[in-house]
Amino acid sequence: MQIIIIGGGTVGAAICKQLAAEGHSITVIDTDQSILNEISNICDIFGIAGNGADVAVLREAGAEKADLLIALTLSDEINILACAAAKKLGAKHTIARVRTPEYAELMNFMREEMNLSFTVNPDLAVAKAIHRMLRFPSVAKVDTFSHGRVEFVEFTITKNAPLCGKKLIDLRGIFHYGFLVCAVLRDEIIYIPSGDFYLEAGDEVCITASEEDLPHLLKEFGLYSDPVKNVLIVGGGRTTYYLQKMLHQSKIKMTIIEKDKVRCRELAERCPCTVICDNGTKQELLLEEGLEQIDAFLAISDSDEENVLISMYAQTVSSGKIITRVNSMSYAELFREVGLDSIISPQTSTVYNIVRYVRAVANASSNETSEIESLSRFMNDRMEALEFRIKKDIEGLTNIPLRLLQKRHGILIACIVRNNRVMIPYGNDEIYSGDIVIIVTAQGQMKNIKDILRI
Amino acid sequence: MNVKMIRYLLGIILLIEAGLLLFPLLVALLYGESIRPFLITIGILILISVPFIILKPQNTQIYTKEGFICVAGAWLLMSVFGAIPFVASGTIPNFISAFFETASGFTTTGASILTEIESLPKSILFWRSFTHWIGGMGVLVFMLAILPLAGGQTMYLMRAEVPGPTKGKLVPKMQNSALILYGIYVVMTVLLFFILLLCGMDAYHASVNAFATAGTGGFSVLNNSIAGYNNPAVEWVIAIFMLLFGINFNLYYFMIIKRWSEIRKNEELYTFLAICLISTVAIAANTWKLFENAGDCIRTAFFQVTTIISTCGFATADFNLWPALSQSILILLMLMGSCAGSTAGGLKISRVILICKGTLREIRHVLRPKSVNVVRLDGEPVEEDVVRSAIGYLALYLLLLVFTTFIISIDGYSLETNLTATIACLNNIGPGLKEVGPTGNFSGYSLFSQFLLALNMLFGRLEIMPMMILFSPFTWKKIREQKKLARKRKLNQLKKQDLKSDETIPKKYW
Repeated sequence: MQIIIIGGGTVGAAICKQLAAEGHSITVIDTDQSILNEISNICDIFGIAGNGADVAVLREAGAEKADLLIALTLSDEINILACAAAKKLGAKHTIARVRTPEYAELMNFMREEMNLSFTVNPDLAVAKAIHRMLRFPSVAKVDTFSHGRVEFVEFTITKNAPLCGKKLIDLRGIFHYGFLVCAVLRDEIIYIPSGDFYLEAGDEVCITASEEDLPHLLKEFGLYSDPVKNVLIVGGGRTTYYLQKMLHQSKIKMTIIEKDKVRCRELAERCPCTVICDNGTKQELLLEEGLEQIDAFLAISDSDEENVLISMYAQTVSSGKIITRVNSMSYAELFREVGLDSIISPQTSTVYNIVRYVRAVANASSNETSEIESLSRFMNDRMEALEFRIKKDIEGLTNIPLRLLQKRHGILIACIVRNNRVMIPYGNDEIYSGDIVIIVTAQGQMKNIKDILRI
Repeated sequence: MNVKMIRYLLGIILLIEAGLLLFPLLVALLYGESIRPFLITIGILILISVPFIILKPQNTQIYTKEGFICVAGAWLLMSVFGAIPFVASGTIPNFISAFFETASGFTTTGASILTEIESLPKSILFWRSFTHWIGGMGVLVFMLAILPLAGGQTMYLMRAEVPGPTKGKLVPKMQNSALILYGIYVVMTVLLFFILLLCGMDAYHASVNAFATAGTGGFSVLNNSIAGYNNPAVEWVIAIFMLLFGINFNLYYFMIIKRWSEIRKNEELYTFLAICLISTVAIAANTWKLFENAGDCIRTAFFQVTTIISTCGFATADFNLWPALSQSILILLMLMGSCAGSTAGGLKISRVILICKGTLREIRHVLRPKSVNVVRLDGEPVEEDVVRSAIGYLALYLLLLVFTTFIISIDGYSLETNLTATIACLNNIGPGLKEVGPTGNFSGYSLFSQFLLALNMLFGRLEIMPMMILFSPFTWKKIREQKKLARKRKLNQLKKQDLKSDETIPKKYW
């Protein structure tokens, strides 16, 4: 596909890298020539220096024939304007990053009236992810699929855990609820386990289960803890703004620490929570606000360094859940080493969202047998989980027992959702048209459900 | 540095060379000549390249340095192995001379150490001319066109091989850009081939001359070069095509996609054409008396100008006998070369424009020290880095020129011969003045000088930097240090393992 990306910041560069690796023709527009040079050094793209909302620049980039335009500049207005202009010129699809809360509320209006095909809001996505994590504070990461019906959770197996030392094939007899171990990270190697795989202490595992079963399962695993009642938040940016609304609805009490007076004032005006205007890196302040007794601590300020530092400090003091917001995921493995397992990045969520959309568009243009509904990554971004909706019968895939499928190596069918019922698939189950199927893979670049088949 | 990846890429290049050698092999079969020299070379190339390719490294990440080393190494190795057919067939018994001849071929120089050409086997001469065609657009660009190498690192390879300060890419995808360039190249070569057929050449002569013209090389299969055909039509056709191959190929692409504005504002093109026109008129006026009629005079002057400015190096006249003014004009043209992004060598017109504008700006700056001056090319402001690197390139270029001229003067020729010989090699032209003029050749130079001049050709073709980096001690020092470090680390590990052998050590630390 011909893709134009406006804005080559961190998100822009990450998307370029991913999409170039998937074989698309990419043109990047940025006002700064040196940024373009940098990106063209790491991936196969064509750079144009200029303002992305300038129609002459868009023409030069070939917006008339582009399949997709992605606007990711720092300014929401430029993003929206560029998308509208490109659409008028003839671009087929447009994606804008819109972050201002006021605009975010106008999403439907913008989609209809200004011809945006899709908008991404990183801060909102992060707030949602944090909210999900707070529901099951004992596990590292939670992801949902199929509109919340299917849950993916990641956690580490401790020595005395009921799962430790068990063979996977025996697990069904031990536990009363259906679940599937999708992936195991052991010694920096990812395994997609088969039935005779033994779980060991120290393994990081990713399991999938239905929404209703998960709390019971976690109880059986000895991982269940009471829901979070009160949280301490450092940083009062846009994420906090979205988050406070959600937390308020879930009746969770919160204390927000923010340096900036204006932001504090705004937050205090909008939400019924405690807002403290001070520097969140002060130890005394954190202790005073009850860091030791808190259920969850969120370091979600704008500075990566501060977030990581205070999270590390909080870990030594508090026994609650600690969630850290980090913009750049390049040091993700290092954070894991120091024990911060709940890392969340607005960038990566934006990248997944856009990549999913691009794959769905690429898929739609080729055929219509299946459609990507959502995509997310886990295990340090090394594994990909994709949700497909099967639209038609596919030869060699549907109506065949799963154990007879000619699957490629390293691919797991994690879940099937049929008529709103979640099924953890066994070898005798079959996929029918109309199902939603969730696939886990380490290979990436899957566009179509057919890609799981060996050809 | 990722040595394994460099080895892998070099393996691919050598395999491509083995594939390209099938063409002269076919010619040998066609004319009933010995195919032994080509079979030997193909055998050697496959023997070396296949293990390199089989050992494909896990880590395919390469950076600027690897890109440069890869390009320089590829050209050096291609020239070394490409010389084997000459030695194996006994055409050029000495390997250094054969290396000179092949390097001269691949770099599209066209300087020869052969005195008697017409009696040689046709297949060998075909290979000699075919190297021009391969070298013209560059073998790495060819590799990029046919092999989908993942990742953006391919940019490093293309940037190191395509001459001149240009944008480099035509379309977002590297592979498509390379395909477009090669497509234009092939179409123009085929066109020239058919036009030469129409002018009365046979298929063999038309093909070798088309190759030599397309690559702006200049090897001829006749002792008297193009003059030997005694055919004014051929001279006109070749002269015009030399001019066309000296123009930036990007412009042809813009022509195909009808982006006329890009062509209209291209300063380099105008300057190039203006220089050709003015030089032709000046030389024609200057050499008026040497010719019998005006047609001959203008044709010869035009041919000499295009052959020199496109750094082709065919000959239709012995300009050793021309007046000093004409000779000086030709030397100036030699230094300048053609447009960036063409198959020609030299400093490149766009760089000359940048250097002139940069120097003028310095003068303006002296007059008004606080003024901010922007250098513009094609009406658009040029980055400071680009201007600086153009001037830096000139400095490096002159240093190399002086150094080589100085060293080869050991052989006892006149300064004029040595200087023009170096210019001819460094700019990938072919003929110089005096002993190395259109009728002379390089066989008089000692083997050492021949080797040095051959390296100069490679330096000139790759625009100095890649070769500099290949030969720079800094590049290799680090590798040695890295190896030392790796060895030390291994030793330490072994020691530690001995100490802790009874403890259980988590795997990942090892």
